Amino acid sequence: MIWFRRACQFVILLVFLYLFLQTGFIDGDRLRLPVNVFLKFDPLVFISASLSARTIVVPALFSLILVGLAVVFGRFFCGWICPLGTILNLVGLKRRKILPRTFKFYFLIFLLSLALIGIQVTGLFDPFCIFIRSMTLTIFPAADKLMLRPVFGEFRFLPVEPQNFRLGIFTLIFFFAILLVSIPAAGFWCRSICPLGALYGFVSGFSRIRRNVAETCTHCGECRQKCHMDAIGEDCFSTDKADCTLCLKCSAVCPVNAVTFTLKSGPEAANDIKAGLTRRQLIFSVVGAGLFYPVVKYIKPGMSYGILRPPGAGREKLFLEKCVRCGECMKVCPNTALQPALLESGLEGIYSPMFRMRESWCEYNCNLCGQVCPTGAIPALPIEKKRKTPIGIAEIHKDLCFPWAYGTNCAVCEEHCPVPDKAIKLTEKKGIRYPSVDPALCVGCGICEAKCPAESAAIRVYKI
Amino acid sequence: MGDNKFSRREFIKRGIRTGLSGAGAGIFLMLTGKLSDAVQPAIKSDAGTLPDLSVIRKGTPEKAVRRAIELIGGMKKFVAKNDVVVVKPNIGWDRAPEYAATTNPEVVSVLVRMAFEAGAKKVKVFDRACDNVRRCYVNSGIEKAAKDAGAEVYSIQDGKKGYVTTKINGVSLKEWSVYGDVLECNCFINVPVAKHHGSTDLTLSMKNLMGVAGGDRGKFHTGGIDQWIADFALAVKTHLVVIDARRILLKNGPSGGNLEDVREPKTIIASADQVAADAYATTLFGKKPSDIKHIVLACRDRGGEIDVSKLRIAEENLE
Repeated sequence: MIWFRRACQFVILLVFLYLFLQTGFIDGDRLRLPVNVFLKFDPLVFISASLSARTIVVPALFSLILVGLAVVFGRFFCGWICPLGTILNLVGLKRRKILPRTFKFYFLIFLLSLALIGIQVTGLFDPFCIFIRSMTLTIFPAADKLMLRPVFGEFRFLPVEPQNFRLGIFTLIFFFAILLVSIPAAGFWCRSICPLGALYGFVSGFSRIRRNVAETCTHCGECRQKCHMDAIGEDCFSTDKADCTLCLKCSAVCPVNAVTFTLKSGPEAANDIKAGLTRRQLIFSVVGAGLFYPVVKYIKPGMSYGILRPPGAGREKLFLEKCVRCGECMKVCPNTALQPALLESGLEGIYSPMFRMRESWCEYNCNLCGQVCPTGAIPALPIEKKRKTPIGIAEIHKDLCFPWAYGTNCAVCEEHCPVPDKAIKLTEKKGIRYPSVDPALCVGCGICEAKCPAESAAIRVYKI
Repeated sequence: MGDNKFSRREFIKRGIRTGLSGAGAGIFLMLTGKLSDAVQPAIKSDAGTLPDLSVIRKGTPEKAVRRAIELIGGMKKFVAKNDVVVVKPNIGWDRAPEYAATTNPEVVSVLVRMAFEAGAKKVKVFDRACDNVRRCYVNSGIEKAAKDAGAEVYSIQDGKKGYVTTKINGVSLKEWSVYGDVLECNCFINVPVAKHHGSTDLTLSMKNLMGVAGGDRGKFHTGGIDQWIADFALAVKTHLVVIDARRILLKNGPSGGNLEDVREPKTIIASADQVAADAYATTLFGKKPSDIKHIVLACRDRGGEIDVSKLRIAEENLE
């Protein structure tokens, strides 16, 4: 049974990685595989985005199924499915405890309280968001440059060019910190921090799954030794259901085969360790979130003009509330045009996707970011509608523009403008073609800004 | 030009007559003018018997291309056994073939197959795209068509290895990087789609060569694009030009995107002489070669004029 679990973890990790590689423009405009399925079935993503945006985040609605399963099977998700859990299981060597297990509950309540007052930072700590974001921004680009491209050449899963993302090093440090701490303190993430694990753990208190220990138990303590979640009480009989991930190691190592798992209905068993939050802890977390609020709000946007968000993102505030910073859109963007924000929209906006048009532009005929967004922060617009949805509007700086400033022909912006009737119009005077932007047609895709041959872009896209 | 149809025999007769008389025929001027090696027509020895260019209308892309090349001497004239051939279509834009922003994939496919039939060892197909290269290669249909025909298809985006700094020695362009495979191949076939262009009015075969230019191509625009195109085109050796005018884009080019701007003359133009082919192609847009600056400059710089009425043209309408 334990090998079945390991096979299950392994297969799901492979599926996860395969879907990650498939997240991009591979051979058509529609993604054929549900590449964001792990995020769509992440109830923490659903709950926190729904709370902060004060709406039902429909794309991730079915994640509630997993909450339902946790009511029956407990935290099976953590031991059998979670790809980050699988990786952390592999690296963990020792079982030092460095944080109390209840910390994750404080943390979950803290994050959800912040979500409730409109600050969406849950995604920074959700295991799927962390994993996908770290893979997207750092691990995959590095693997591409150092290993994949040199060894295999240009194969279809690789982007056109090796990608470069901002925040790469910071993201890598954060990810490796989790890995490194897990070596001496296996399970510290899953047991003490993971807010998704906390959510499942909270529900697992009601679960039907029972860890039964027969009377033949010799109290040898082998099971406690092996439990990386430290979910077994000192007597070897009792179990903390909020932490037991049904990894079945205790059952496998028991020298007298005393441990079995069964589904039972009815009242809680006597040997359940009561976990979860006391009222005092709850208040502590909520107040903590309240105190954190001004800190987040104090760190204000550093840019004086609006941030260019993915097509259809809508109002900045609503976008930040719905976006869980998973990085799917940045991975899928064929032009690597979506980059993580630093502090442009304040501390709360870190890792949210934004355009930097001078570096790369939004492809006119592409709506992949909307196809992968698990919360609908970037709506899944049909391509006809996306083509007409403005990201911003281009403006020509006549003091930098070749025809206007120096009287030489150029028209690179007009040539590249993908709008069928050209949002950049040329007017010829004495052999010089002067460009101007038709605001009624411009959708702010930014290819003009990206391709402008002037040293500083003479045409730039601004938020409307 | 349009109703000036004559049979093969007739034009050969006329061709011989014109060639022998040698008086003022465009081809003669070209040969006697101060030509650089790059633009000497490959059909020099047959100057008297073969037309300067062939124009085939209607039919299927496959039949039209085959007939067009047959009329100017057949693919074996351009491709020898074990040759490495480069077929350079326009794959610059993320558009479906119907929008006439990119070369018709069937035209590319038949050229690749013809090159192999003539004994080519390897056929390479590439372009330096303006939109996202992967999207262009897939959505233009050219990647699949060329691969299915047996070609090697790859991208040559900026930053790729393989660009070679090359002496251009033109009027204003002295030196530029050119994709090495174009310089090294045995036969370079340029397959543009005929369409409108905001800067150069039309983009035909000479403009299409910007797809093998490296570096910052924005400098072409600001440096005086018409002269630069002429300089570049006269320096990069083109062996065969096949202009795809099956569909043409009348305005909002080069990227297009509006089917209302597309017309279907269903025409294929083939020639060993890029300037002659471009000159003829202007007539499809109701223009004259003299309307297009880079054609005028290319004519001037290589010596001789282009008078479409004096070109020996083999025209056919297929079923």
